[in-house]
Amino acid sequence: MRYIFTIAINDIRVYIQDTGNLFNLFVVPVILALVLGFAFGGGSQLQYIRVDVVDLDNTAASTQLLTELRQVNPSLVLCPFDTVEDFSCNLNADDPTLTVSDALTRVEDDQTAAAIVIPAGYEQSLLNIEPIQIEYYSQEISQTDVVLQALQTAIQPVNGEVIATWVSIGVAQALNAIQDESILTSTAYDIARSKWAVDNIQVVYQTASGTSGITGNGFNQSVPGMATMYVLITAFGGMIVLLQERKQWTFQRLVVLPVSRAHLLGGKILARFLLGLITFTVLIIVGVFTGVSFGNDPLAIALIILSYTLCVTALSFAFAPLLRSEEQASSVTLLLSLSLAALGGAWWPLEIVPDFMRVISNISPVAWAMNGFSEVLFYNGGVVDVMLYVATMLIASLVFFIIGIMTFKYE
Amino acid sequence: MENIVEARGLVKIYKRRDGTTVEAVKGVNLDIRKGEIFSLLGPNGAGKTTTISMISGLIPPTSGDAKIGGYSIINSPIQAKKLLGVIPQEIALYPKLTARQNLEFFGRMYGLGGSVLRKQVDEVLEFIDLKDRQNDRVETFSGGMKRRVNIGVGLLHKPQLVYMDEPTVGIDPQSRRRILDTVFRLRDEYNMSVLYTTHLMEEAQELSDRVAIIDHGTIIAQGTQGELTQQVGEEDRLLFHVGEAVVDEALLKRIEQNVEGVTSATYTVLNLKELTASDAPQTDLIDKLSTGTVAAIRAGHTTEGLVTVVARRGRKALPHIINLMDSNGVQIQSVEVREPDLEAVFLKLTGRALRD
Repeated sequence: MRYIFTIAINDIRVYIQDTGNLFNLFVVPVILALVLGFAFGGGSQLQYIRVDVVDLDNTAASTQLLTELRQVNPSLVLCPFDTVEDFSCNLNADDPTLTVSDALTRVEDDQTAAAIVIPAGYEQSLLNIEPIQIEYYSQEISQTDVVLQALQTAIQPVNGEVIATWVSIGVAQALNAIQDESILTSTAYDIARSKWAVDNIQVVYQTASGTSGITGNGFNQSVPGMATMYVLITAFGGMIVLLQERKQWTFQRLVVLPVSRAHLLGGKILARFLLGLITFTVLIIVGVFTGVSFGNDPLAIALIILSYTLCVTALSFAFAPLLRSEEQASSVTLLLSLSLAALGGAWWPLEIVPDFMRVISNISPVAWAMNGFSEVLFYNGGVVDVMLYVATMLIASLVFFIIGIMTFKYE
Repeated sequence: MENIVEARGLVKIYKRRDGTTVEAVKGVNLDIRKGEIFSLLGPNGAGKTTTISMISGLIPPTSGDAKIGGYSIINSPIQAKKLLGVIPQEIALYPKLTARQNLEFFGRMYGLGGSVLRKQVDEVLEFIDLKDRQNDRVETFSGGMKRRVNIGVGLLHKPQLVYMDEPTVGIDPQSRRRILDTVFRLRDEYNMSVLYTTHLMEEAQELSDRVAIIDHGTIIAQGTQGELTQQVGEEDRLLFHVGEAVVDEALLKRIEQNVEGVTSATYTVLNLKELTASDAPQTDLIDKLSTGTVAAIRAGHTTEGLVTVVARRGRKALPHIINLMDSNGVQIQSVEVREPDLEAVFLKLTGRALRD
């Protein structure tokens, strides 16, 4: 082990003697993590989504629907009704009212994520148990899915209450027990409402931090994302270093020293592994300062970091024997690092990519790590939740190491 | 005398990408004795580095084996390598690290540590005369200084055998001289054996106790310089520089007929004006000329007469030839005795010059 550590420490020393490497280790990933973090919503705990609402009914029932909508997703800012500090509806201050036409224009101009139009007579139609059409307008962007889901969730109790009322009237008619249909309707609707409020099955949907549900901010994506990408770049940089060492003959000099080849390769691998961990450490510090929620299980995070770093280090050594020149290695490093990072969700959440890309992403170790981080950072998962990803990375590490060791050329 | 290296039947066959093979080394046998400087002489591409790479454990032989201090490089590589200090032709150092950091790292890899390591590094820095630059990065050093650090790394663990692969390639004459002196010091002061590869006949001649000549992957001759030159039966060449004096045919005939061992005598006149008007820099030109010619140029002569006598036992024939020339009024300005050299041996054995 002594020789392995000696080689690893020397490699790290050589690495940090180069100002360019220090820049790549401490500056570039930090800047990228910050830029992307702010792009994904920065440190705010709520990422607000502007939704235009045109309430043509303007009754207690329509107001109630909007209240339900806010409860379902607190990140929705319903314009022109809601005001949130630092996030305005961006309407004319003198006349903040919205027409259907205004709302549609704003959707088309991307000024608002979606527009909801509650028709006139909404409340009356509810009481008459008549069909109602709430209009929903959006462009095909991901945020609107969230709005639509929230709207559907908000409408769900209204539908339930209407059906319950309808069933009650139907049963009363069948029993020939209707004395006053309006009283029956009103009573049945109220009972259905009250029952729904306490006894229904609910999906709690919230974006604020808490002990359950989805948590996090923009840095929850960017910090692990950039960390995984730069660990990949650092690990793959090992291929270039090996070729440089062959060129400057220090590698051959090591081969003729009285140490085993296992020590030699072990030292080289350990150096890259430790540099990978340093990269992670730097970005975790960035995460601490930017308010990243690292979940409740540090062990789970540690397991992901260790297994991922091991995995990409092993991957780089499996590739190393295939490369003949530094130029070739540089190109391959750039290509593999960027493509595996993008594919694996280092730049953007995998949730926003099309399904087929999500399937393809499973070939990237970055995806395995990011899925693990997602479990811990966004869903407060623990060791059990990340074990599948950790196991995948450890098995892959073993396979890559076997390939690397079997094909590695010492000559 | 006990051998430090015994190589038997070393063969290295490389496969080309097109599937064909090339036999770089063809059954090399070598014995290197303890405490001697042994040169492996051969032209570029002869197989010197491949042979030494197999002996040092850098590449595995296709067949055969080499023992260093009795340890097989194949079966006991760690023990064998402990006895070996390798000084490659390339500057195998970390340029971003200082001379001391390089030495300390390789010292640790040789198993040294603590005060022993510090002492050894200090000693080596003294030996290579770089103590005052020990904390400077190697990348800031001149070529000669880098070579010295490169040599120092191979000496850290006081090996029994030092292998130096063409250590004077691409450096200035002063640094070259320093390295050659270092080789002698390793043998004389530290009692180390030195395996020295070179394609320069002059270096091999100056340094070696014994020489092996390698060509096309085969050792074509091996032994002391005397043994090698005797082996090919070369005669001495005696060069008489006579300045602007004219030597007639009759005198040459008398030398051939009257002096024992002489097989030929020739007279040539060099036109020094033409010679010095060449494009080559004067310093380079003078380096390549014989001392007599240089003296003639410096004396301002326009021509330089040269009598070349080929003779067995040239030194014995020398006074007789001088007497004959003197009695015929030819003033000799200088004499050079060229004994059979390794260049001549290589020429005789291969039909090619070493530099071809």
